[in-house]
This record gives sequence, structure tokens and C-alpha cells, in this order.
Amino acid sequence: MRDLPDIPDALIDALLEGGPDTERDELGLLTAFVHELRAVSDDGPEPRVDGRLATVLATGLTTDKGDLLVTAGSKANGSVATPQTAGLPKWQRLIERSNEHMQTLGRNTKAKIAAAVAVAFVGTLGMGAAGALPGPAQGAADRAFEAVGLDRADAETEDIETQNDHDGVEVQNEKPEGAGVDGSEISSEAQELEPGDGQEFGERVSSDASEHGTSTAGEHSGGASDGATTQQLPEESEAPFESVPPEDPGAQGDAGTENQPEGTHTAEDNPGSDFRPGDED
Amino acid sequence: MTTASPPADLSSPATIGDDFPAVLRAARAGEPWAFARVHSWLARTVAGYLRSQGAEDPDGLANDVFLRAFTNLHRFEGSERNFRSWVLTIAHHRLVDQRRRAARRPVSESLDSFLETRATGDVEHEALTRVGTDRVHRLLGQLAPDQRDVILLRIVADLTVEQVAEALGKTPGAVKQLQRRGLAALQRILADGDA
Repeated sequence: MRDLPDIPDALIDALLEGGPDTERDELGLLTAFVHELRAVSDDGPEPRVDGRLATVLATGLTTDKGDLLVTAGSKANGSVATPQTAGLPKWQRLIERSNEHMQTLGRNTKAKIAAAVAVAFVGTLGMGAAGALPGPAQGAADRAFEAVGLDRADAETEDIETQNDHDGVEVQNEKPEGAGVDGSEISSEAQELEPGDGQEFGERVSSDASEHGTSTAGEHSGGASDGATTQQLPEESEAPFESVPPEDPGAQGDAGTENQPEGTHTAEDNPGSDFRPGDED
Repeated sequence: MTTASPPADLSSPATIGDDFPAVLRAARAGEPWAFARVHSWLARTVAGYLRSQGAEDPDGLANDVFLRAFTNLHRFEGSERNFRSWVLTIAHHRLVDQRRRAARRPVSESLDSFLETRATGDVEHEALTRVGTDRVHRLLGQLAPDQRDVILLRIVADLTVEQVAEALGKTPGAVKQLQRRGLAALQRILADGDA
């Protein structure tokens, strides 16, 4: 079988499309066949049209779902000559009926209806502005007023007070007792302290430390004689709880304090101690 | 629902021409005159393609093709030539579906139905037509099915190589190769005088 190797694709395309450039000797037979095939195809009989296609050609289709515009009332195909319309939905028919009814009315009646609608609208608007509408309707009206930039804040406040009076509920503006510590009270008490209060306590601690120097826990406290050694506190220590009052026997010399940095003891080191700075006062 | 008035000439079967956009728009809107215009334009081509392919019931299948096309017009975008190709692609797909459903029969047997021509009353014309169709279909019956599909879609349906490739689910290169082999086979048969 020859494969038409020397004929370019463009010439084959022209041959198949019935172009004029294919009347060549090597393509003559094929050109005649193409023309004959086209003629046979085009001259064929008109196809028979069946019922459904005939209905479509006669009445058309709906645009959205491709359904027939005209459908039979039952599953059986209805007569094409006297088709049954499916009709509009109920809500659409209701609107159409109301529109038809409106068109039957006279001009004066229409004017009266329009005036009544306008009065009702203005009245509702006025009640909304005055806050006289029922609860949900008033809320919607307030939102509408806010949306258009009308401020009903004063009126709303008055409404709340009036409602509270009616309900017998008083607005609690005063703080209940013991509800919390006011920062201004702390500040005023701190200012009332005598200047020498803290200084006196500090001097007493310093003198005690100077008298004892380096001492064993057992000598100092007389209780916990485990040999632990407490170093003298350095003066520049910045530990938060660096002073230990001598009145507290259990505060020094506890086991494990040697693992702590020198000269520092914290309240958490001795859970049994209730000492806090300033407890002496 | 009316989108356009029907053009004056509804009987032009060859092309629709400049009226095609209006006809398509009206058909999408469900206008029956637009459906009738499209049907009169393409009915013979679709039925001829189906007959030449040896369809079992070419008329019924052609009706099914047009119903499917009319109900899927919203999916189509393009020119008049694109529309013709689109409808004939639907026809080919429907033909393949029919062949899958039915038990496959030899092509020479199914082509016998093609010889049924309408009774025109013109005996001479009818005789010539029968002779022509008989010869054409005997030639087509000697091609491989893939080659015949390509040749018929290229000549009868007037599809491009790319459109045939899309319709058949093949590459354009494969379509070109099939049409070249099919034409070579036809040339050999014609040269040998087998037809």
C-alpha cells in the first residue's frame, strides 16, 4: 500500500476540503471520489422527524433547563395542536392577579391608596423617631436612624432611665464595700508614713548583723544545729529578701541553704516561715 | 422570550451566513423558528453522515442529535463553522454510543440500509443515485474503521484535523496519519478498478 509519501499535508487538506488545486493526475481519482461522496451526502433524503423533535420545532424549548415550553398534563405526550401549558408558580400568579386588579381600578382609587400608603409610612417614621414603636420594630428603626446618621442617643438614655424607674431597679453607681483596693487610697497612705519609719528598721537590722558576724546556725537559732553556715550579708546585695530578722528562729540555718547564692535567702526557702518584709511593724 | 424576529429566508440549507448570531441567540431563547432554521440547515448533513457510517436508524439518531444540540446550546460558543462541527461531533458520539449498545454488525451489511432512497418519482435520478451511493459505500466499506471515521468527518462533516482529533479522542498527528493511509487505500482501490 502506498502511503502518499510525496504529497504534503496542505495538499491533502485541500483535497479533503474540495479545493481547486487538487486536479492533478496522481490525485484525480481521489478528487473525483471526494466530490462524489459530498454529493451523495448532500443529496440524501431529508431525515424523518419524530414526535418530540417535531414538538420542539413547533413550540420551542425553555431557556434554562431545556424543557419543552409546552408540556402535557400527564406523562403521555399531549396533542401538539392543542398543548397544555404548565402555567406559572402560585406566587407569580398571585402577583400577576394583584397587578391585574390594580389595573382595573380607577385613577381616584389609585390616588387614595397611594395617599394612605404615604400617610402610613410617614406615621411609622414619626413613631420610630419618637421611640414609640414596639420593641423589635423600635430596634430596627434605631438601626435605620443610625444608618442615615440620625443620633437618638439622648432619647435612648431617657428611655433606659424611664424603664428602670418602671422596673424598680436602681442603677448601681457606687462601688460595693470590699470590692477591691483603690489605688488612690494606697497612694495617700504611703504619703502619710513618717520619714523615719523605714530607716529605724534598717538600722536595727544592720546592728544585729554587725554583732553576730559569721555564726553557725545552731548558735544563732538554737534549733537547727545541722552545721550549716550563714555568711555575713554583703552590703551591696540586691536580693529581694536579703534581711532576716533575728527574732525568727527557723529562718536561718535550714538544710539546703548552702546551695543558694551567698547572702541570699528567700521566703520560699522556708515554707514554714511566715516572715515577710515589714512584718515587724 | 422573543429575542429576534425570524429572518425572511428560512429555506437556505447551505449556510446561515450573517444571520447566524441572531439565529443562535433566538435558539438559545427557545424560539421554534430558530430551531427549524438550524434543522433545515444541518439535517441532511447529519443524516448523510450517519447513513454513510452505517447507522442502524439514521433518522432516529439524527433526531436525537438535534434534540441534544438544542438542549445544550448554552454550552456552545463560536462561529457558524464551529457550530456545524459541534453538531456533527455530537452525531459521531451518538453513533459510537449506538454501536456500543448494539451488537456490532459487519459494515457491508449495515451499509445496505444506506441504499434505501426516498421515492422521488424520477426513476432515472433515483437509479443514478443508487448507483452512486452503492459505489461510494462499497469503497468506504473497504477502509479500516478508524480511517473511515477520519475520512467521513473530514469530507462529509467538514471538520478540521484538530476537530476530528477532539471528536475521536486522538492526537492531530494520529488523525493526519489515518487520513493519509485512508486516502492511500482509496487511491489503490480506485486505481485497481475494484470499485
